[in-house]
Amino acid sequence: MVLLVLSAYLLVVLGVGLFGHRLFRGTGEDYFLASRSIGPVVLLMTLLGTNMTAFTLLGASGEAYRRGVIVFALMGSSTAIIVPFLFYYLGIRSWKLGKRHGYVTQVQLVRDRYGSDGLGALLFVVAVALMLPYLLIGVKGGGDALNVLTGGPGVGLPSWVGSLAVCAVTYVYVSYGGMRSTAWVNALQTTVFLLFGVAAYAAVVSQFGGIGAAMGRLRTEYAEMASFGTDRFAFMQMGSFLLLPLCTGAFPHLYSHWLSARSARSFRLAIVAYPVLVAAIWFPSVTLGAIGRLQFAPPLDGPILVKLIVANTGEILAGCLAAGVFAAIMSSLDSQILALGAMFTQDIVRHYGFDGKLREERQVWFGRVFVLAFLGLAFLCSLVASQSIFALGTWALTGFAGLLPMLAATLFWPRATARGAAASIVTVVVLWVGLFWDSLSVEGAYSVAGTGLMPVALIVPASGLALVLGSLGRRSRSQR
Amino acid sequence: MSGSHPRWPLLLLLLLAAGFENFWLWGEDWLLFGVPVNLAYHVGLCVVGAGLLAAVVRWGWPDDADD
Repeated sequence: MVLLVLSAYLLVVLGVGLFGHRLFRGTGEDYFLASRSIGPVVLLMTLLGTNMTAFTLLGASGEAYRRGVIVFALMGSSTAIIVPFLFYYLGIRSWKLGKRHGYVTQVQLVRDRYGSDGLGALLFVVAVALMLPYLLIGVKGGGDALNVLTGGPGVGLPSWVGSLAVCAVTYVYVSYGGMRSTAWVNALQTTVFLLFGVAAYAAVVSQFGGIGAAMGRLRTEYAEMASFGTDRFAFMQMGSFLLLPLCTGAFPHLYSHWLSARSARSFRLAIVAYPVLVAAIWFPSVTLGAIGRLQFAPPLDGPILVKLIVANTGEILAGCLAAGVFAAIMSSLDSQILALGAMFTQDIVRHYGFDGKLREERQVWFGRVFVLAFLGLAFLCSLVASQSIFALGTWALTGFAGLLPMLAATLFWPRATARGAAASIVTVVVLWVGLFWDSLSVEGAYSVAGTGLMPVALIVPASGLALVLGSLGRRSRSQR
Repeated sequence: MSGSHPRWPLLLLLLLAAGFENFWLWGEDWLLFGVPVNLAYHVGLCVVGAGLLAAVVRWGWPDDADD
């Protein structure tokens, strides 16, 4: 039954994606940015879907199972507060400059702003290096989720089957329809995992006698999971996690979605509705994970959300869970590979190989080749990936957050110079590598010197400081 | 490339960020609307955030955003 529901869902996704192809205009701008025609509702849903990954459904509930309701604040409300302001400031400004100058990627913006090819190349290398492990989380997560939902290790479908299904379906609709299909499918997928969240929440919570009864039991049996704690570690973590959502402002795939908007006014709905919809997705995920502790004692042998659904509901809802997990994965994966395809086509092939002049149909052709290449690479890596790759994925978010000061200054600070921007990126790389290396010798959750301070709280201010110091004493290109 | 965005929305962001650090409640575990008070507080913060962002969109929209 799980496979039946999941197969039906994947067919619907393919249908929507292929329908997007019927409106395809055959140009590079249409393939990568849907001719900048995406309206408010699809923009909201696609921004939400792109930013909500498998971690939101499986990772957040698993973390809530271990730590309790604090997970909602650490990852949910911090995202809900910070990200809409990134849309308001960086999104609108990026859209405006992108439309005026015909940008498709962040690297084009940075190259133009600072007049530096080398800086563009540096940003390209760092962004691609951070993106690949992030992309891998989805491919591997799809395989693992399907394995557990069909019986678990040794019994269920091998992980590579789910990974291959995710890659194949995503490739077909991204390759055929580009950004338009991606945006439409994302809107559908976001709706699916929003509805799934509500259905799963209602079905499971009713088995516990309602949310009040379940939380009352949690408070009695595991009081520490119902509060946030008052130790120094919790204090430092709460401060650090407010900075992590800054990564959203530096994601290449979010930048592509910003540029695909029909107008600046299209951002209005996304800015206002984003906090409430983020809360609507994270609340069921975190509360179900926390009350899962009442039914399943540690250690767990699978994702808590899956175990709760299978134990408390029927196979149809388990199939819906599989569809919801695949929706969360594919709605991020499609945007990521499309953005990577755009970067290789525009920033490398077109810029270096064709002196900025590449026929429209050739741009689309290169885009499709790179999308296939990245998906193939991600699939192959997923076959040999270990849990450390997942840890590397969360580090990728820290790296992207470190790039934000440079990108924000590119848009808003006329005195920023190429030297300052390069200093900022190099600072991120050096600190990231150093802290990551340090984390390899630490068992369990890592924080800087065991203080509870997350690496992002060190990297973001250092990146900003390097930008300012590097820009002092020289006139910027825009000042000249 | 200086922006035409007003700066006062940044104050709202700082206000929300300050509200995020609700340390006076962190040690409490009593229930509000059926969920732990800290969870209810942060859900409320998201709703308040949406309200403030509606004000930003209404009164802080850059004049030349669509130029």
